[in-house]
Amino acid sequence: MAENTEKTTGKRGVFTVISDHLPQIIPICTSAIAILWIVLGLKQYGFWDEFKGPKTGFFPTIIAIVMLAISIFALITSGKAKKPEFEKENWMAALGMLAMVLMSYVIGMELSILAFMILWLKVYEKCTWRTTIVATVIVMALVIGAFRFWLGINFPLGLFGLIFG
Amino acid sequence: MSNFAMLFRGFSVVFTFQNIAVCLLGAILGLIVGAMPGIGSLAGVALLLPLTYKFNPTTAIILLGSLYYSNMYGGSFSAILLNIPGDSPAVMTMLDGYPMAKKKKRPGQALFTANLASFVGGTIGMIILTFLGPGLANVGLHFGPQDMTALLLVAMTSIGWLVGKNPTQGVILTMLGILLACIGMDPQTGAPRYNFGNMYLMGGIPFVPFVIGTVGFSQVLRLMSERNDKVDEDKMVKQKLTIRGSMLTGHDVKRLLPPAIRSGVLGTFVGVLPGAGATTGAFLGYAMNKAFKSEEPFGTGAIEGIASCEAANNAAAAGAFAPLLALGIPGSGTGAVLLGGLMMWGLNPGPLLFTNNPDFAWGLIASLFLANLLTLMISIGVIPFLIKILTVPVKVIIPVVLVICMVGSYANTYSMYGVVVMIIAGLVSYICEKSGYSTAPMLLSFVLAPLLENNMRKAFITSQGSVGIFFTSPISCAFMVILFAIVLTPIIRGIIASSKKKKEA
Repeated sequence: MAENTEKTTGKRGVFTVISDHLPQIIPICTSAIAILWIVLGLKQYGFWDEFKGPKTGFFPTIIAIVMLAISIFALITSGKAKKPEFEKENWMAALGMLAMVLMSYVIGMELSILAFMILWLKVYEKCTWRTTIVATVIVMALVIGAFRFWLGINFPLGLFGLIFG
Repeated sequence: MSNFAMLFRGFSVVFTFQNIAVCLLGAILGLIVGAMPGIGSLAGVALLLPLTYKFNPTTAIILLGSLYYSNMYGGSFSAILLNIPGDSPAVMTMLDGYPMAKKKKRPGQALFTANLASFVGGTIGMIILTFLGPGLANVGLHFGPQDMTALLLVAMTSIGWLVGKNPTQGVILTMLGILLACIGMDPQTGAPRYNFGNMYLMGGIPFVPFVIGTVGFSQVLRLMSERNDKVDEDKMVKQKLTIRGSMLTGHDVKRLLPPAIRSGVLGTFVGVLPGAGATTGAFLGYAMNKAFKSEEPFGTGAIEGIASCEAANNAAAAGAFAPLLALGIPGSGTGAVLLGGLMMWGLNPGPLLFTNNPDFAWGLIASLFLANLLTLMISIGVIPFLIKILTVPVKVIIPVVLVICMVGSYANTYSMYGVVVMIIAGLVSYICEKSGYSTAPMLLSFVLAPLLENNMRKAFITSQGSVGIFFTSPISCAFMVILFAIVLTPIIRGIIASSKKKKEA
């Protein structure tokens, strides 16, 4: 049954495949980064100057060579590695963060934080109004009091701020 | 001037209204962060970094140092009252703390024991730090670039070895941290490198958003699956806690002191080792004191058991400052964040710190003494309210931390670039952690990379490109042997294990 569901829902299938192969994907990615660093280090930035000694690419290239060697070793021995398990709800925090960032471009960062706190606590977590209000007030006091007034950070006003500000 | 005279000079730096106030604030925040299961000192220090921009370096490090230090006290609270460790060192406290609280119905005394032992252990750690720090700095003054390079390589790789389950993975992330730190500009020539034509990357990856993402945001992603976990009502200590009812008897104090003193000395030296830290300190302190006589057997609610691990973990936290200040080498992820903070404020921890910035170095050490005393008083003062603090639901903490992650990252770069770095760092760290890769070595190497590059290049210029320079001086030669042992052992072990399996098959 579970297998059928996975087959019919393409997205879930892709995520399952990725998470099943993460022990191999991570060393492949680090190998790719190492190769890129080596190529750029040797070709673009230079490795060694006969008179001046180490050039800009010297240090990163050495480190990248070590990383490449160890990544290949990790890839070879990754067969016995435990496959990680991800739960859907873990990604909700990332979605919440993304929503907050995107909303900042529209209604500004402070209003987007206010909206996020209320929606997250009241709608998603189904907290009581008392908890929602207390937590939101504390967070807004920190954001406005400490960051805006004390540290003097000017938060983005968003599209609304530009139009109405 | 003698070390004690310098320490008193440090106290004169600390005793200003602002510094005492931030020390108090750090102690309170550290206790809260440590007491609430899930956040931990690393995320606590990282999330607080942006709030220190307004302070001078001394005040800023006093705030972060006291937070880090008092966090060690807070971790034991939930271990004793709920049977849930607030942080990893508190796992050992749970073994005797919870039975003492629940079975012997002495929760207040268990908390008091933990607090007092933490104070004793911490004080011993700080006294040793007062001598060890400048002593280590003197040794460090004799290090040439090749010695520093070898030492840094050992520090970076050993944390990967000690922190994670798989040392190979630790070394991979160590190297990744160094490569990420190479983005931006060549620190010696100023030439741009690895920025891929991106204007933002020209300035490199900003440290604060990177740290907040790696430890704060990724921690929230992990916490999401625990947010509906409720504290087991049956396990919870329900006795009403009062300060008067928590006082220890003279006999209790007599039982507490010997193991606390032994653990204090041991924990300090464990804390000096890179990667070992408070958790190893607590474990070793407990194991060592088990061999000594105790009135009750360990594991049944013995005062000696609580004192052993609590004193050791606080002493280790103090001891970790010795290599951080004297050599510029942090022993843990939290140490790396503190070091990054110091560099952010233009200070260069290392052998010259005690000479060039004595007010700062001694001010910090003096502030640890003050934080120790303040935290002891606060931690006793909050005993009646502990159950309430400990049962704040994780689901309420999550959005609060998310907002701090975003605002803190934005405040560092004054642009969404910081927020983007934080999100990417958090997602990558979360995926890595889930796959068994510990991200602490990445943080450490990201911070230490410029120092390593600087020393490595100097060494190669001196030797005109010969690797032999690392084997000419006895110091660097010894470090290189340790380095090879650290790097090659997991590889050889892996080869032996796979050949054994093949033979069996």
